Amino acid sequence: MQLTADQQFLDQIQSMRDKIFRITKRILISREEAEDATQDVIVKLWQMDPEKRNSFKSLEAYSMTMAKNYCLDRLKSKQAQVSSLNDHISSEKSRSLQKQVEVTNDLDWVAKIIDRLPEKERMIIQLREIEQYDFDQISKILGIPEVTVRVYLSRVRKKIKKQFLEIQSHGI
Amino acid sequence: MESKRISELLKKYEAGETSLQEEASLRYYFVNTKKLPSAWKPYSSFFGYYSTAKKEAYPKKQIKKPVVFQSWMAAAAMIAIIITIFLGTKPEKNNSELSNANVNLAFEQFQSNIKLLSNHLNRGTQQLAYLDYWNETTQKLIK
Repeated sequence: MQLTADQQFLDQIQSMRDKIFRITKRILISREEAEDATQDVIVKLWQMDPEKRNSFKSLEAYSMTMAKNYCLDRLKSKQAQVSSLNDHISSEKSRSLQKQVEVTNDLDWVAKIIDRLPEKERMIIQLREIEQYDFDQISKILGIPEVTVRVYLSRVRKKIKKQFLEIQSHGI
Repeated sequence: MESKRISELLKKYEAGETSLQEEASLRYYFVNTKKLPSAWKPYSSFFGYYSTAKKEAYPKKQIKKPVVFQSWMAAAAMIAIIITIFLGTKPEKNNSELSNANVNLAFEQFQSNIKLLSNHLNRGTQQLAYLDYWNETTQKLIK
């Protein structure tokens, strides 16, 4: 009985793991941190009471919410650390310089533009453009009304286009 | 015409009003159409990036499994213990084959050695009696 429940969970997690990894990477940007975060989220799901786990309408939406919250918490504590060290600006500068060197084509530019967006906009892009969730799911995961999701999405789509055109016209 | 449909979809897209199906058709169009009007070229980069980003997978690095205790390990441990006991007892077997006379001789020698030793030990105790004396005087000094 327990074994089949575990097996069932493993099957579910298998299909969700990549999605969890992608959203955590979108929020945290660092690949290593995203790997750690994915592991932690999966462990949390694993340790959850199976009955509770099965009571969710959509385990996937729940897991994405959990991953999002986990990453935002992590960013918050990291920001506190960084600002206390007072070298936030210099590290940010050197990092973007590093990235500029790596950019070779238009697709990389899109990635770079998205990386520079605020977390909320990054999450919207990830959930809609990449994972293709419907507005109802996105509104549940982010905890904001559907109308707001649409407004954010429209704004961020225009923003990405504007920044992309700017980069192209400047020929950086 | 196709381009008219796409241009209308793009308007809706920027307003955040397209459905998932409409976005899928936009994605298909921009990823697969080679010749695009220059104004639309950015969209092929956007949708191109979104499609590749969806393929990114969690690295296939396995979670380290804790070593699970298995029955064959218990068996191996038992065998190891038995072998050590067997090897350890072997020399004693040889000892018991010594003749009785030798054993008696060894015992007598051992007895006399112990007697000698105990005599010497007793001699030491007499010297130790001074310690008491020493203690007494130090006690007096401390007081």
